[in-house]
Amino acid sequence: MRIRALLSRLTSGGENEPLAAAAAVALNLLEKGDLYAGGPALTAVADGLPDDIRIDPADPMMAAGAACALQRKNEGGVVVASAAESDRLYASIALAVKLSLPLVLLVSCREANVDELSSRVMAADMECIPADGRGVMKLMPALRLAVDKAREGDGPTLIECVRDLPLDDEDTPADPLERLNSVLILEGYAMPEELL
Amino acid sequence: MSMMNCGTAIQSVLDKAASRPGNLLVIHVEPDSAATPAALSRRLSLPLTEDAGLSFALGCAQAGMKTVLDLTAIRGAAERLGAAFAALPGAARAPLAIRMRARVCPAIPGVRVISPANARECAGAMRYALRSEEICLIVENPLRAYEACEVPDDPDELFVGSEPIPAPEEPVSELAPVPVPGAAPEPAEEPAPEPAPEPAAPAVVPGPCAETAFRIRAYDPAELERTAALLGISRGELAALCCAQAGEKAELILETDSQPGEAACIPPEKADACLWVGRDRLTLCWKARALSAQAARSILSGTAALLEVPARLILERRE
Repeated sequence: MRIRALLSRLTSGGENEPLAAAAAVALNLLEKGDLYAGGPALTAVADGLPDDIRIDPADPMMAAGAACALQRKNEGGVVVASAAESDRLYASIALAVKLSLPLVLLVSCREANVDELSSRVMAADMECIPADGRGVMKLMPALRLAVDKAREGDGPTLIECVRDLPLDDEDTPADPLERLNSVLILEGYAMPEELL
Repeated sequence: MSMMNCGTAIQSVLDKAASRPGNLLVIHVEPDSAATPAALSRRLSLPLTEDAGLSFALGCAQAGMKTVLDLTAIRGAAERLGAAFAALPGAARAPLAIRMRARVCPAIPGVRVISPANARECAGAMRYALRSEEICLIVENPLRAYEACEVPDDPDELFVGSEPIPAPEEPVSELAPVPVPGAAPEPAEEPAPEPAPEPAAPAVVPGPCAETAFRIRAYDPAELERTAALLGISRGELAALCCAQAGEKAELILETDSQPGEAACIPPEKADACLWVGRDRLTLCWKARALSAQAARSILSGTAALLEVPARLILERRE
């Protein structure tokens, strides 16, 4: 339900944000002392999250710098950053691998581009996990794996949030919030009227 | 008290800071080097460009490290750093000390630029930058990099540069209309025990100088000649460097042969801006419609640093 609240907050702008589901899952997994990078600045994860969390792409090099700082503090902190595909992303990937930084990058991509992105990231020796960017339940294991790996000092991971994967069946909603609602109702975690 | 040059003086300050428990991280950026994955070292060597290094260092600073970005290995970083800062969102700024070598001192909005003249001032500048809560840019003069002088071992001796130009709230294009504030006297470069918090400033950019008839006049041609020779460049190049302080589109007329008050190509009263180079002072007269006060101040301080004129700077605004 916490993820649903986060997702509801992140999608309240009404715009179709391809990284909203991944950001909601990541923010749910982060602990005190971790950092989330979205938009121009970093957000420290404390007891509560600020109202103005951004999910647009951050500067991956800045996120790498923050991860380097957390690595030197040696307190098990992790940085999760939303990022867009760019030369700066690949430069930060190379640096993060070389320094084994506790960094998880969320990159939105189309299904047609997954192979190209994966091959470039894996060529830099970075682990790359593709996941359905609209499905919270499908993002959860990938992000949990990546965050735990970073927290244990095993290096960075890139999560490819594919935004146009074919739906499982025609009844599956495309909207991440609606899809999560249907899962919560099906699994018995909530009644439909509670999710209005 | 020991004899040091600029590099060793700054290194000594950093070594002392690194020996104390704390969050100091020195990032040495060198494009052709390889990244050194020294696990928990206080020093890091990164193969980045200056703008990527700046982003990385700001990330470190935002995460709570006292970060020193060393750009001394990058040639011409001064010219490109201004653009990197201009493209930086306001929210990304964090306390940071940047060290670089340049003959021309850049004026970057929102950044305290400190241009120490000797090793003693270099040490004071780095001490100040490590204590400061703002972005400090220490610009070392490469011509004086190896000049040694006595540097006292006083941890409280600080060297503070001029007040930074207020940063724009959001990046603004160079051709955007600029509000023209009133003229303000150039602050004296005096050590301050503690940095004062910056007051909220209006969004102002230092330009533009396009279409400005700009001229430099030297009272003493021999003085200008000596400065050009010291820098290893021609008088024309020196003029161009001075002009670069005013913006690429400014028109510069350098007069070294005329005396004050003599008729010239553009009479001083008709020029939009006029810089007088004297033995012990620089005087800049400008018209408010052509140049903002902040642009005028940055031209004056930049040219003073370039010509190494003792800091007696006079700003005179014409209506």
